[in-house]
Amino acid sequence: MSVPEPISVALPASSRPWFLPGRGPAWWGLAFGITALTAWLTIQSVQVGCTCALLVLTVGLYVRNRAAGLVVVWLVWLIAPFLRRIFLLSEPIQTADPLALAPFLLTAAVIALELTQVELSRRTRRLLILVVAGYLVGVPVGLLNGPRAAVFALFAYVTAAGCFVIGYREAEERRLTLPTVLMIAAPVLSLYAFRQYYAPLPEWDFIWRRTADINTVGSPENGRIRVWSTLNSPATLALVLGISALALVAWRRLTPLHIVGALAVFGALALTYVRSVWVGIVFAVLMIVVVTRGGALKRVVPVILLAGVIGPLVLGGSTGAALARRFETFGSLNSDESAQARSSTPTALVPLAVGNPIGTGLGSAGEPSRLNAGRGLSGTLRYTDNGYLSLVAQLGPIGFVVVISAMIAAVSSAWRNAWRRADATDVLAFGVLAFLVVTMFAGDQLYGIGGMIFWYMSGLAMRRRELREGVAS
Amino acid sequence: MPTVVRVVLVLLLTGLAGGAALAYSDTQPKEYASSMRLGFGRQFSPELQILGGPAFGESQVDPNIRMQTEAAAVGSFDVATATAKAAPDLGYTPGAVSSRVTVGPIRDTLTVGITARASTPQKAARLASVYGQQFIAMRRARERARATEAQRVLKARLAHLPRQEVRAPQGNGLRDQINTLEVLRHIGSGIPDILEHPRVTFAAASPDTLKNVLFGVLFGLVVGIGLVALRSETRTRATAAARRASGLDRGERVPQR
Repeated sequence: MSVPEPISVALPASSRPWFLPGRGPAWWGLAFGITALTAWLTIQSVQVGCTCALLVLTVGLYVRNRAAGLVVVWLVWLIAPFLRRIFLLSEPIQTADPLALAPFLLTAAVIALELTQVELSRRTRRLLILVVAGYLVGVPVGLLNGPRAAVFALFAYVTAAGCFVIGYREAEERRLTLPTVLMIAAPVLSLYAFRQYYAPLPEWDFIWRRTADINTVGSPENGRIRVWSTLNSPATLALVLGISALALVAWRRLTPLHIVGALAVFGALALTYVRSVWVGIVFAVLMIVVVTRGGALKRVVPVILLAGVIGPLVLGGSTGAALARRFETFGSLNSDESAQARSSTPTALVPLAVGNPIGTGLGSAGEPSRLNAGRGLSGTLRYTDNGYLSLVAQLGPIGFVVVISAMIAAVSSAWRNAWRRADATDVLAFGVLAFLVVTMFAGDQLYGIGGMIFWYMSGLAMRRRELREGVAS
Repeated sequence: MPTVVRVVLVLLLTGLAGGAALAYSDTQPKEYASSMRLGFGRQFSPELQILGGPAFGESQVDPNIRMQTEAAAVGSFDVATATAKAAPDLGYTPGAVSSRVTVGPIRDTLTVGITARASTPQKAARLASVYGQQFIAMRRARERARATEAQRVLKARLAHLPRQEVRAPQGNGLRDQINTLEVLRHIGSGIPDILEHPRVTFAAASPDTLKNVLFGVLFGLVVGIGLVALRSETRTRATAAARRASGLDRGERVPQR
C-alpha cells in the first residue's frame, strides 16, 4: 500500500498577498491606519468612506473565504446604486459619484488576488491578452479625446474581461457564486420593483429619478414608471433579471421555490418594459432547448404554463393592457420611436467607424463618455443603443474584430460543452452567453455588470471545455 | 482565534472609527444654514385673474415639470451674479454664492426651497434673503419689460385704427388689453409668493456630527469585519481549507496510512 502524501503538500497557494499582514504589529498598524482613514474619508464624503469600507470588507473576506469575498462583490454590483440613492438624501449628486466606482474597484481587487493563484492554460492566456490588446487599440485616440474617460473605460472594460478569471477558477467548484447570488437576490429585487411600480416612489428613488438624468423611466401605463429596483435603470435591471431567470429555470433542480422566484422575476421583468431583454430571453430559451435537444422542455414548459396562468391575474387591468400595447409594438417597429432611434444609430456610427480605423477612442461612447462632457463626440455617442456599434465606434474595425473573436471563442466553447454533455452548468453558461450576445444589439453589455457576467460565463465555459478535453492549466 | 476575540476586535475597530469620525468632525469649520420658501401655486395673482382674459388662465403643464423649470430658473447663475452684486458686504463672488446656495423643488408641493450656507447664522439668513429677493426682482423686471413692450405694440395698433373702429369692439378690446398690461406692469404677476422668510438659526448645519459619527461607526463595523477576516487562519482552519481544496471533503475516500 502506498503511503499518501502529507496533507500539507496539498495546501493551496495562500490567497494572502505579501502586503496584507495577517498578524502581529503589522496587522495592528494596518487595522488602525485603515480604520482612521475610513473615518476621515467618511467626513469628506460618505460615498468615498463607504467605497473604502466595502473594499476592505471584500479583500478581507476574500482572503479568509474566497466564496464570501465573491458574494460581497456580486452583491455590491446589485446594491451600490441603491446605496448611492440613500446617500443622495444627504449629499448632492455628482457627475461621477465615487460609489459608482465601488463595484469596479472591488471586482478589480478580487481579480488581482485571483491572478496570484490561478494558473491559466496557454490558450486562455492568449485569449485574455487578445481581449486586452483589442481594447488597447482604442486607447491612443481615447487619450487624445478625453483622458479621464479613456482611462476609466479601459479600467471598466478590462475589469469586466478580468471576471473571466473568476469564472475560470469556479469551473471546478460545485457552487458557482454568481448564479447562486443572482438566484437568491433577483426575487428580492423583483419584490422591490413591484413596490416601485404599484406604490408611490420612496424619497430616495424620487430624488434619483429627478436628478440622475434617466430618460427611460416613463411607463406606457399612465401614472406609473418602468421599474429599476435597486439598480441604475430599467435596462440594467432587465438585464440582471433576464440572466437570473435563466439561472432559476435552467440551473439546479427546479423546485417550487425556484418556480415562485422565477415567476416573480418574470413579473418584474415585464414591468421594466425593456423589449430587447424580452427578445433575448425568448432567444436564449429557444437556444437552450435546441442545445439540450429538447431536454430543457421539461423545465421550461411548466414555468411558461404557470406564467401564462398567473401573469394575467397578477398583472391584469391597465398594467396588462399597457404590457399588451408594448408587446404589440413588435409588429409596428416602423412607427416605433425607440426602434427608429436604434435603426438610425448604424447610419450614424458606421461611417464614423469606417472613417476612424482605430476608432474614435476608448471612452468616447456609452457611460464613460459622460466624463467627456463638453468634448468632441460625447453627445453623439452617449446612447449608442447597440453594444456592437459602441465597440466598433470606440476601437475601430481592427479592435472590434479582435475583441469579437475572443467572444466568439467563448460562445463556441459554451455551445460545445452544452451540446456534448447537457450538464446544467454548461447549459446555463451557454444560455446566458446567448442571451447577452442578442441583447448586445440593444446596449453595451460588455460594460458594467453585463460585461462582468459575460466574461465570467466565458471563463466558466472555457475552463469546463478544457477540463472535458483534459487540458492542464 | 476564538469567536469572542474576533467580535471584540471588530467592536474595537468600530469604536475606533466612531471616535475618529467624532474627532475629525469637530475639527471641521462650522457652517450655518437658512432657508426660504417660494410658492408657485398660481401663475398669476388673484387680482390679475379677476381682470380675466385667456392670457391669465392656468396652463396645463405637468406640475412636476413646471416645478423643475421654476427651480432651474431660481437656481440660475444669473441670480447668483445679481446676489453677489446686491450684497457686496457678504464678500462672496458669484461662484461662491452659487456653491453656497442650494435650490430645489419640494416634493408634492408647488414650492421651491432656497437654502443658503455661510460661516455665521446671520450671514446665512442674509444670503438666502438677498438671493430670493434678487430672483423675485429679476422676474418682476422681466415681466415689466415684457408688459411694457406689449403695451407699446398695442398702443401703436390702437393709434393706427381708423377713427370709426376706435369706439368699435376691436378698439375697446385693445384698450382693455392695454389697461390690463398697465396693471401687470405695475404690480407684476405676483408670483412667486414668499411663503417663508429666512430665519437666523444658531444650530450649526455642518459638520453634522451625529451623521458623521453614525456613518463612521457603520463603516467602521464593515472595515472591522474585513480586517478581522484578514487575520491569519488557525491551523485547524487552514487544514480544513486544504481538505476542501484537495477534494477530500467531496465524498472521496480518505486514504489510510
